[in-house]
Amino acid sequence: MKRALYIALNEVRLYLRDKGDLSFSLLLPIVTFALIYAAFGGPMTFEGTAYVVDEDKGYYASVFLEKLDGIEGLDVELLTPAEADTKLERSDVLLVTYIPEGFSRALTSGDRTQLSFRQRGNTAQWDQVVASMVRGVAEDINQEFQVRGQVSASLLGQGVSQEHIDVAVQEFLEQEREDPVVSVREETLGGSPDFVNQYLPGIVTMYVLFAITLSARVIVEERRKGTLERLLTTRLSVGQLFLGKFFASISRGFVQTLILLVLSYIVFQIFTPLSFIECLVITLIFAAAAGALGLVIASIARGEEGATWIAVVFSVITFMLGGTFFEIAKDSAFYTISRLSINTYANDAFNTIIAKGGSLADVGPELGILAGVMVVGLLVSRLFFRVMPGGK
Amino acid sequence: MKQLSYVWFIALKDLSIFAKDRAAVFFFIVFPFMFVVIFYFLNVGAAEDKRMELHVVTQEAESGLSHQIIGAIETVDESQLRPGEPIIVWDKDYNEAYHAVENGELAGFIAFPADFTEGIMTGSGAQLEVVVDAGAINDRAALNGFAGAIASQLGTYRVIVNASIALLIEGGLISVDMESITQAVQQIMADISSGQGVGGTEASYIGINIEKVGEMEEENPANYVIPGYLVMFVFFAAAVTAETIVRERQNNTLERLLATSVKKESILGGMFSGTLIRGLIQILIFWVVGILVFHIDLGLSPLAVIILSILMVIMSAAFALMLATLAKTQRGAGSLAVVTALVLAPLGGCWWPLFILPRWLQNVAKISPHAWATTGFNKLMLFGADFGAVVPEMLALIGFAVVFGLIAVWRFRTSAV
Repeated sequence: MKRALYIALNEVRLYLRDKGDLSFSLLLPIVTFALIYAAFGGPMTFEGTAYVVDEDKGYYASVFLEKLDGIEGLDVELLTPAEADTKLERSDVLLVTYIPEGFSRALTSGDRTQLSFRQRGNTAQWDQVVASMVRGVAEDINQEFQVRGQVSASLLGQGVSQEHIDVAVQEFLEQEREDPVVSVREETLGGSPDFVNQYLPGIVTMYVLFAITLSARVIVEERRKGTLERLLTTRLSVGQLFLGKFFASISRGFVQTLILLVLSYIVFQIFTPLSFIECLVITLIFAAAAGALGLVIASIARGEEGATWIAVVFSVITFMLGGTFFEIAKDSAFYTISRLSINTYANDAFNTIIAKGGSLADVGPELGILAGVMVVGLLVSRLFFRVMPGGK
Repeated sequence: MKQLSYVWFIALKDLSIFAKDRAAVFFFIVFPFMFVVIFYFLNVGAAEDKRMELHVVTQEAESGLSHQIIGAIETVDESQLRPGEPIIVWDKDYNEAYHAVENGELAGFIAFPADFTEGIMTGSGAQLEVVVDAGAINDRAALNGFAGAIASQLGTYRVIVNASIALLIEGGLISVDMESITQAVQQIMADISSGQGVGGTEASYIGINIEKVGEMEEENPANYVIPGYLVMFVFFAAAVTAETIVRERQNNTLERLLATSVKKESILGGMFSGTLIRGLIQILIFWVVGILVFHIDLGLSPLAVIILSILMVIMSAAFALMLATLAKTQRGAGSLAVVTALVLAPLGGCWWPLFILPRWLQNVAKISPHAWATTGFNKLMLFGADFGAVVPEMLALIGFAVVFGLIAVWRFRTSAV
């Protein structure tokens, strides 16, 4: 046992000294989390495109397009009628707004006019939002005409000049724009703290699994070069060597996660001292399960490249199934498949402790499954573990 | 000519070594499709032909103005709605609605405050409250837009009333007493609430005509899933060949090749060609399976899709050579390949479409060739762009390939020391 621990300690020492390995295992999770946080973690705002056919090209069409383009998060793309037809026909776009010919002329002469939506079905949700934005801009332009028209009509035959009406209307409109009678206040619920809880454990477990399974390659390399065989010339037995490699994987994974969790503790303040210790216990058991699976890869792979590929494939499938980047709906078939991934159990356990304020007692089943994976993984890998190619 | 044949032989030999490695071939072909299948099924049914539901609630007593407003806008019969118009739902209890948003059962709602009517009537103003889940982007935009429209309409009414009353008083057409003013206001409000202009015509000067040109067809998720993973895995597979090149350098295989009449340029060309051919086989498989199994649509210009794919392969092969010349050890090359492939893929829009990301991040992503390639594919396969629209993306990929290639030629060495 003592010798096995020496091997493990030596591996941790080598890991901490290898700058490349360190940066891969620590920097990459940080970069990935930062990237995902930047992409989805900040204040999320609507972004869409309004496809417009301008058949008018007059003054009010320009005003309409300018106001539409001024809406935050909305792009305006002008299409020709033929392009719009093709895109609608092919369902490349689902909603096109048409500014008809004579639009500006009608408004200038005080007549009523219409914008047209040509659309497929009810359109997608984001197009419905775009449609509401288009309506809002139309309403904004309409406001001035409607006010002037209604005030003029109510004073018809009363001897008030149109010029006088226009001046008064303009004055009241400006007042209303400066100090609207009804304003809108927004209160948002949820947001970034949930984001950290949702993604952070998944990204940490993803890279720990990656690092541990990829280290299988080193064992394969040592076997090919005869390093493992040479070690047997000391008083080490195959069993001790095997155990040493297992402890090495656990230690490496544990140290890696420890550093990442300490950083998360400092930056996001997502732990209490107790929940931090509980997460370390989960980490230890997860690292043991991952280490055992890493040994299975090292035992069955014939060459280094094969080991790398198996590790990459296994890790990527496992973390994808583990719901690292997306929430998996409970009633879906994908949820059932996701139970095959050890990351699912580790992520669930972390979430229970960090987000739901649970204790280790609440994650007993998850830890039990991870421990079971470790035992089965160790048995299988010991069965196939060889210290020399094709040998014992 | 002889050197060209060496290039060809080296490329063929590389391919034959690769073809014999059954595990590598499996991961080269089957593995990417495992991703495609997972994400294809995850995204099926993501877009539905469904009206948005906007919830409204009031905290006022029943006599309040807000009850009349909500009563007028509430959807009573969905069949009367025009295509794309939202369903307006009147929720009766503010606290219940608030907790529903907190628990994720409701995306959000608009609330009229308890003093809404008082604020409007006295002119002191009122505030509509939009309570919304921060993550419900579409509902958030729609609720804010709808609340803004209600506020704007009420503002319009106020201007009509105030301007009319001011002009009537100024012209001496009504007396400045409360009774006359109230009577005039009621007349104007009656005209407005009947939905008619004073002259008996429609109130709005800009109407909206809605024409349904067909049913909504759901976007095939394969149209963005397959190009994303094609870009990722073509790059990934090419990048990991850097490791093989470094190994051959360390084994002195490249040095021995030089001892024959093969030139350094031919070795480089052979390696590049081998990676290139492998990438071409990969994209061929991707597109054939994509078309036959996933029924992907190559858009208006399939030729542009093909050219973009080939440029992606050329760029990836050049990157692999550059990586091999930059890495000192085999393990270093392997790690760099995995790291660059895994960082650039999400950054460049391979895991999720780039256009759903914030604009600043879309700009940052342009440092990666992946972003140019996925943007080009998205333009062609999702938004109906023609050949001319993706020329910038093609030029960018050529630029990346030239830069990577020049670095590879400059740094290439056959000896490990």
